[in-house]
Amino acid sequence: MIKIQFGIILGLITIVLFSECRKRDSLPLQDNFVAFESAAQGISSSESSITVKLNLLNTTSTDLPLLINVTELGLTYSAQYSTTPAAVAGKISLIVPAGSNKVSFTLNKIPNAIFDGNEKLIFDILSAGSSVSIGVTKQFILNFAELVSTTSTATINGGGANFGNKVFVDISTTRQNAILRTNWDLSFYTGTDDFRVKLNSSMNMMAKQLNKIDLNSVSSADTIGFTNEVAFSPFAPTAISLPYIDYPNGDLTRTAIAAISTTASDNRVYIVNRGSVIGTSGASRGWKKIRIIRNGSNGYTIQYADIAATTFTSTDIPKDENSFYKDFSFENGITTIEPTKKKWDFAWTYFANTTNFGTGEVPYMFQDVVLLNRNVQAAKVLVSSKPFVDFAEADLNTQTFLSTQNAIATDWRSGGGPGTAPSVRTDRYYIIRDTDNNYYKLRFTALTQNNERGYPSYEAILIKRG
Amino acid sequence: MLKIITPFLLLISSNLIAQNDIPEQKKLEEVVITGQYKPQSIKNSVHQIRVITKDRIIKQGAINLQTVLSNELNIRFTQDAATGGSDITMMGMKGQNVKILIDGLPMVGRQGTSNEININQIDINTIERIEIVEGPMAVIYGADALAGVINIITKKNKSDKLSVYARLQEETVGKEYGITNGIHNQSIGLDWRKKNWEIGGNIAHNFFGGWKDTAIERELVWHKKDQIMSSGYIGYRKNKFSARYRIDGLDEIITNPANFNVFPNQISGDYYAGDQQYITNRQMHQLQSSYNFSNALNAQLQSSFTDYSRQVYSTILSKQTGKESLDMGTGKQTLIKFTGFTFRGMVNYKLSKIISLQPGVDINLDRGEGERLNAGKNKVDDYAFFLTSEITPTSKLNIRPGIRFIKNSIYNAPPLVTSLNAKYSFTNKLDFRVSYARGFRSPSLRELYFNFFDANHQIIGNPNLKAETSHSFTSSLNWNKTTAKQMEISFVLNGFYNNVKNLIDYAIDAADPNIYMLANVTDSKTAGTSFSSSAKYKRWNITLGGAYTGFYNDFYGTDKSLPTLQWSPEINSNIGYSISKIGLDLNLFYKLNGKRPYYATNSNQEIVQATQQSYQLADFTINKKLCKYISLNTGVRNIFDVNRLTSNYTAGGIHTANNGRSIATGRGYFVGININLEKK
Repeated sequence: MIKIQFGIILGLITIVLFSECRKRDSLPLQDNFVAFESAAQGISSSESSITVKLNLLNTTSTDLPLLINVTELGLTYSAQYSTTPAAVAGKISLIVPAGSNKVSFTLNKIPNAIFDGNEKLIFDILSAGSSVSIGVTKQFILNFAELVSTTSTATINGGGANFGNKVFVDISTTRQNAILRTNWDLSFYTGTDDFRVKLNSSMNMMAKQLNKIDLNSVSSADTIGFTNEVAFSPFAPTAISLPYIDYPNGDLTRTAIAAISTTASDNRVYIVNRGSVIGTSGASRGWKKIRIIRNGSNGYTIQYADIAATTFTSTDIPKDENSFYKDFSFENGITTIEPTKKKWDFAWTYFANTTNFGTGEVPYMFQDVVLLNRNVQAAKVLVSSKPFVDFAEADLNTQTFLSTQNAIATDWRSGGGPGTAPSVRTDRYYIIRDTDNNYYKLRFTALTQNNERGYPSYEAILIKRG
Repeated sequence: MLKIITPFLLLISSNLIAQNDIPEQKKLEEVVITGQYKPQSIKNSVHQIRVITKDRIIKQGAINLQTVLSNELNIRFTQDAATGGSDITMMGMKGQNVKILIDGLPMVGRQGTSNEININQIDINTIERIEIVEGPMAVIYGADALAGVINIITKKNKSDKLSVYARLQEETVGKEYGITNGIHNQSIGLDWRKKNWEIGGNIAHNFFGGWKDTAIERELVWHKKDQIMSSGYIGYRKNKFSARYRIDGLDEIITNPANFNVFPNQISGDYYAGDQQYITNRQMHQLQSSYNFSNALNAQLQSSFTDYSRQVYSTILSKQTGKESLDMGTGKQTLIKFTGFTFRGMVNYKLSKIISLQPGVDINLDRGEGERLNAGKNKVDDYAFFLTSEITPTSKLNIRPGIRFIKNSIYNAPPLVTSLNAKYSFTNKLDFRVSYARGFRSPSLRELYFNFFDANHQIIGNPNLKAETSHSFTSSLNWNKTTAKQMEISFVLNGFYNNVKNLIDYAIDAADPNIYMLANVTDSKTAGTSFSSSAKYKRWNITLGGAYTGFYNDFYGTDKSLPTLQWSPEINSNIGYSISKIGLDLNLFYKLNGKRPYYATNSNQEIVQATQQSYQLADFTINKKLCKYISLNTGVRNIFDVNRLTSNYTAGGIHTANNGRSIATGRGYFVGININLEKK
């Protein structure tokens, strides 16, 4: 009897001592897919080349071969077009390098070749390496005329969880232009009606006017006491900082930098906080001092230097009406960031916004902000009043269109909270009147790609051609 | 004399040993050990101690400690929607100020040693009783008990025998019950002792299927939880010596399923759901021993080593193929590890009839590493020496002064902590206790070494943090009487006041407004008064209590015209009726948590008065002994169907305001079976 008891006891103790915890670590990786970024695009007569992009769902761990078949409709390789890498016997071989999740090839028009606008090229993903399946958009049609897409879908390349890019999207051509948001600092208004300068609103930048007009007389002593005030705070923002940002609705009369006066002596020096680098370190990009005046050729002249410098650099910035703004970088001078006026409808970006934490409006950086171009309007429709699929041209005249740049902003997604992740709002969509007066119904279909922020997706369907 | 020790030891926890002057005990339940030189009757303890017995736990059919403690005065819980854990509030203070001990040794949890222990990660089946002491007890137990100490005393066999026990319990979660939802708990264990040896162990499986309530598709309002808890011990005693080793293991998986995306992925055309699991593993080893040198001198050693890890495990489910795959996204797979080592050595020395001394050392070594902590192993080493003395000039008066000297490797601990407890017996029915204690809460490893940076948030810990310190005053008046007609009546009146300095909270880094850091920012106060009474007469057993607790108003710092404290009442009552002839027990457990006012700011920057509504928790249970070895229990949980609390005000902000505090999962029902086999 004693032996049995000991047996039970020893057995139980053995179970307790040697039982292992349930582990969770060995699951397969997600099935990977490859697809074209869009299903169709047009190349206009003024463009000489176009980049065709393919995306993977996940980064590949090994070099991944892809074979693309090219079908010519009214075109001949070498005579009218070529590709990089070159097509061999009507097929393009691509490699997605290990560690990457995208690949592209370029199509070039042969100089002086003649097109009638009805030519097409059809690209099909023929085969892909064994570790990847071919996804939804396995075919891409390139029209040799500018196209007004009837359906436009894309995943916006926002640069991932650090929101590295500002992405300009042209719905009617299904094109996106992703630009690193540290590539510029200031944007100069090109309209004839005013002389205005905007801060890069995709950065946590601020600018404060000093009561000085001589740039060289400004030193780091002039920033003392302002380092906390002229800066975004994610935790305790205050209304004191509000005048140091451009008002988020895009009203040019409410910019941090006052209108540039014809009287040079009225144009004072500003200290500019350039915000922090992209990424999680939060490291400061430092400060600059600037002074902007009008020049004799109806443009701007910017004088700029590091805070402690005793000399400065001057750059002339002409007004160029192809774009609404002429962009400028302290490192690279004049630089092209914003596409020309008709080449974008909305931009997705990290954004210097305002919010209310319960103590009035304060500056606060927002993720996933959708901004409208100056010549684009948007109206919000709730699914409860009209389902997305049912919305037609006849419904347009009952909509109220807004033209402020933040008409959509973050309305398209919910911010989440304790226990709930941020997500796309599926109860609403938007009607966009684009730069060519085309009307699209636009809905956002994802906030993330594979749970990673910074890769939202949209779907737009043409309602009325402009 | 030593011969007397042995039987007495059977009914006490091993961590403190009896001396030869054993008090006369009528009932085993009345013995307490927390903060005592030797096991004491509650009546003789210089501290005011509340005891919850195993009997009470069984009567309530409780499957976790939260169910039991929710019924106590001055204790409230809320559910943490994000982690699936539960947060305790005691004496108007947050859970980080409540020290949870197992047999006198501190536990390690998600924030490091002794801070914010999830009380539901303790196996209720191994509990003999729970001792609750209000007030810091910092001289003996060290940091982190500004509100009080909850000491969980584990079960031991009280005489030479073999006992095997098993328990099955089924519960609904609100209206939900089934194979994959509801609660399904099983446990089995044994205790054996003979002559010098004792040995035992237990294993329990607790399954909580989550609470769906209003959630749709795959989502759950409360996360699903699956726990395996095990324990084992071996003890030896001979003459003057005793030693005991114990191990407690926890393996908990909390599952948080997500809904599939509404729109298909543009690349694959598939719909995905991102699920998360929070996996906690803990092993706590304890070694306790004692030696009696003489009637006037004994020594005790207590030590523990705990290994704790918490993993966040994220997966992606495909709707089309049903395949579950690993989520390789940034921050989706994380692991945090803590280890804690405690050593406490004490000597009890009886200098004379009037004066006893207890000097001791207390060493606590904490290590932590992982996600959201500074890279590498982060350490906090704490060394302390303490001395208490018991002075009994007359049999009516007991005075216990104490002092603790602290040396901490990282933070600025108060160099010495003092306490003074006194008890005066007016008559053998009426006792008065008063205490002053200095308490402190040490910054947790997380507060010292927090490190969280993403695109929009930069939060850092602060290795320069000082400990939060408090002055705590408590007093109580106890009266009890047993009449000739076997009627027992008792009445306790309590009061407390806490003044906390250097409260640790988030503040903006003076050097960089983009960085939020932890700092000693403010002061806080709490106060309260409570009474409790009980009466036993024949088949009836009735308790009635009430409390009035003052929670600190966080806005008092910015606007001194506002009240410092905001008061909230509580009432609790247990009514038991027992027919021992047929082994039937009927019990009603009731608690009212009164409405709680607080201040908040509205969108016009004005500070406004808001209120959290009151709620009532009540369980009705029936226990029936079927035969000598088997008993059944059944009952209704949460009769008033409480789930979330709404407040008449919700603050604005970036992240969506939560729709009220989660308290419980609505009215539910349970049925269980207990088996106890014994062999002498």
